[in-house]
Amino acid sequence: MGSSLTGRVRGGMGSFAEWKRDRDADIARAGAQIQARADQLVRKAIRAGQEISAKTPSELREFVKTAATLSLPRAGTTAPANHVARRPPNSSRSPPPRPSTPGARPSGVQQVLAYADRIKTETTRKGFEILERAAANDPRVAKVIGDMFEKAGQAAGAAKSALQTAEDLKDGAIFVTRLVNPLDPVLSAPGQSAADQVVRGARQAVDDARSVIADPQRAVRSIIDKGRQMHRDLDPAATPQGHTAGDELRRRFDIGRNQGDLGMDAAALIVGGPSVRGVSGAARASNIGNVAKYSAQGFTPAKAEHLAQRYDGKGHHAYIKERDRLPKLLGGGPYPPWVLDNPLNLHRPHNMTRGDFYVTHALSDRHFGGAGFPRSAGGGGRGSGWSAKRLGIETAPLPLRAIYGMPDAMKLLVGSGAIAAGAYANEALDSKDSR
Amino acid sequence: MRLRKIADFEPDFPYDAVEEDDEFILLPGRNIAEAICDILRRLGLEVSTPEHTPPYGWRFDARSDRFRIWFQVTHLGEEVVLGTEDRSPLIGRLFGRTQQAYAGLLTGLSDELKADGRFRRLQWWDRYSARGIPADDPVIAR
Repeated sequence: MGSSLTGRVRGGMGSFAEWKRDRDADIARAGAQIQARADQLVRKAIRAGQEISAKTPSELREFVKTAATLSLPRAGTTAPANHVARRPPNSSRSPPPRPSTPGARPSGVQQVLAYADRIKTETTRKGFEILERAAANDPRVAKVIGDMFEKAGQAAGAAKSALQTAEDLKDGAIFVTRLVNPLDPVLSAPGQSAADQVVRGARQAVDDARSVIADPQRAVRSIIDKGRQMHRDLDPAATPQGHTAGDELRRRFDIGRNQGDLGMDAAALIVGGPSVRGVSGAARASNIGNVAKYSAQGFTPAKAEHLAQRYDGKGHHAYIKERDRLPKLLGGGPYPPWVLDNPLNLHRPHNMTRGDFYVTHALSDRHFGGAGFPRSAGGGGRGSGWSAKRLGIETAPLPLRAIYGMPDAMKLLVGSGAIAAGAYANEALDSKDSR
Repeated sequence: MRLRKIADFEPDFPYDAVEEDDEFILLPGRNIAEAICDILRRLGLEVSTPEHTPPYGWRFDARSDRFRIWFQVTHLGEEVVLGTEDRSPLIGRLFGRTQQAYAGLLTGLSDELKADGRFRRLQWWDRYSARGIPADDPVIAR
């Protein structure tokens, strides 16, 4: 950048110092108005008994848009060419993508991300020169280039969220296959089908929204804080432009990435959603981290937290149990591990909490009456354990037991068989009709 | 004759779980299982060594020349659940030949547990669920 910061601006818009002072004042005023507006919205909603929390991405965007357009000057405030306010590059709101396994071939999404990063680096350098030249001639051109970066950021943000979701669903292939398996609801314990898990995630989001109203003061603070941060993260006009063209491109890219992330990640952004916080990806569709659910069942906070953790145990033998013995003809003794722990026999749920696994287990195995808690969770031989009897859970009737405890691999097998049979029947009927 | 095959009681035993990083390495209840094994041996049965079977607890078999009974000890904290099941050969079970011996074993075990102060508030259940009905004795005459 060859020009001095105090240089005059083409078009006679005043010195950079004046422009910066005016713009900072605008931003401060807008911030105060956003705060007042959020406060007003919450109080109005409380009086009317309504919920104002955004439940969908579009509602969320609307909230941000409403807040952002209160009085932010958009026209006539273009920064002086070559002289824009310095601002550190905007940091992304979401954590960076998890590193892949060393030596592993990068996934398609990772390649997209790497490509986006390369574009960002290369384009920043080239864009620096282009933007500087273009802006010197026409600020509108600079805006177009900035918009392009924002779009590129949106794509990268969406890709990043998609990658995180995919990584959270390490066993996602099974989950997704179960989701599209028409027999999955039939082959799963009540509330444990893939579709149920998705619905539960949505309900949880709504519950979180309700909790905002339950604590108005917290809601006000949350909305204001969240609104401010989202405003900064998502609206290019909410923060000063970059000091240099490179800074500005980076800022627009980061804002775009936040916007793209938002589109993929609306649930986690619901204002005041305590149970969504810290829960990412597919975990949102399960009860992992949903301590409130288990507290509501009467467990102490420590026990509820233990139950809300991801189940990482051995699983449940659906058909051939550990206690079963080989027929004498085959030598007696326990079944070999390759039989016992075969995926068709071992039900090891993915993305399920301890508490939910206990329920599934109790439904499908009359010998599972409950489990104790470790010392760290307030157990250690004291207090109540997790008891199916106490929670009113009945072991399912015999035919259903096999279904409730059915391993995912068996569900896929049965589901695939059903789909194949359906396709065959359809084909046969089509052939018959066409004769 | 109806059998209530599941018992629960309040244990008076040292807590013997092995835990690491907030997880169970060994579930509690091994000492309780061994105490029950001793009782069964006194009743003249051949008893296996308790086996750690998470998440259930500790399991072992007791057998005579007529039957084989499977036991499971699950430590829930304040209470311990003792599950039993007749795992005798199918033919014997089909014709009810083992049921009398099974009933005799449960009655003998119940008497021993009641006499031992470490097994407090012993109850026998037809099923260990919300609809289960407790009784003081494992055998209900029809």
